[in-house]
Amino acid sequence: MNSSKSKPNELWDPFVEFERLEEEFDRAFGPTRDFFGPGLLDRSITPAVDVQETSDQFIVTADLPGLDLKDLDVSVTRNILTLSGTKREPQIPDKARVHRNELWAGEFRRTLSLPVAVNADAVSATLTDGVLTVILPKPEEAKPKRISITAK
Amino acid sequence: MAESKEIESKRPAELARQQDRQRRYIHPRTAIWSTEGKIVLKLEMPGVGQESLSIDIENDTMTIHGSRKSTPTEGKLIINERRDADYAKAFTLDESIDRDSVDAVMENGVLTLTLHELEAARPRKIPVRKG
Repeated sequence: MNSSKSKPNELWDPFVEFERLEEEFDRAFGPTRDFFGPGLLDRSITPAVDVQETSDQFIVTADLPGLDLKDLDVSVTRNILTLSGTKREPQIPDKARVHRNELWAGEFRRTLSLPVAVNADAVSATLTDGVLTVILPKPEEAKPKRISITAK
Repeated sequence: MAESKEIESKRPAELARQQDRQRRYIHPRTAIWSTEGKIVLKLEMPGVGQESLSIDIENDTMTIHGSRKSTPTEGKLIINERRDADYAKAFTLDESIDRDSVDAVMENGVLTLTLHELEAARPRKIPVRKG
């Protein structure tokens, strides 16, 4: 691999390469939506999403480049989070010559079911640099509780 | 020896991810179109702010690099579709492009670059006189 050639001082570990290969296969054939990453073969119509669970909340992150707040709709019903909206076409003037257009446009809807129902009133969403972050706090009863043990 | 020990203990997930980040980039999705004297490039780089973006022109190559923050590792990832890597893309410019008038605007994770053709490189109509 040329990456090992480019940095002769770096300790080259073949297992890292295997891990990378495994990861690429998982990405290509796994259940996720994104086949080969952004590129020629990727024309999917749902944004890429990360869902993270901590002890007291869920954090949902979605890549939504070029979207304004008004193009976007976030709704929560019990444990179902729905992200929907419209990604608009780039404004290309009619007489322009288009050399390449890899950007997708159109309506999208993504529904995510979370393991537990969340407190819908406490959900907050922010859109920064084309990334939507939704924070969904878990209800009190779903948070892990520490039971103190007393010695007798 | 001590160093290799350290690497050994760190290796499996953490170091692999670090090394991965260092050498792998995502090509942003791009749209390119041209109108009279102007070339517009739109690159989608969600998660890249104005301050974490760099555009360099060296000789005939324009390199765009946007670094984005990794998803924090607290908690566990239930779904992970977003790629944890920076954006990078290089374009070759020919002599007709004016290097001094490149316009770059970053908005909502989309970079819009406007390149201008040099006046001298524009097609010109030559009037034909009657002899």
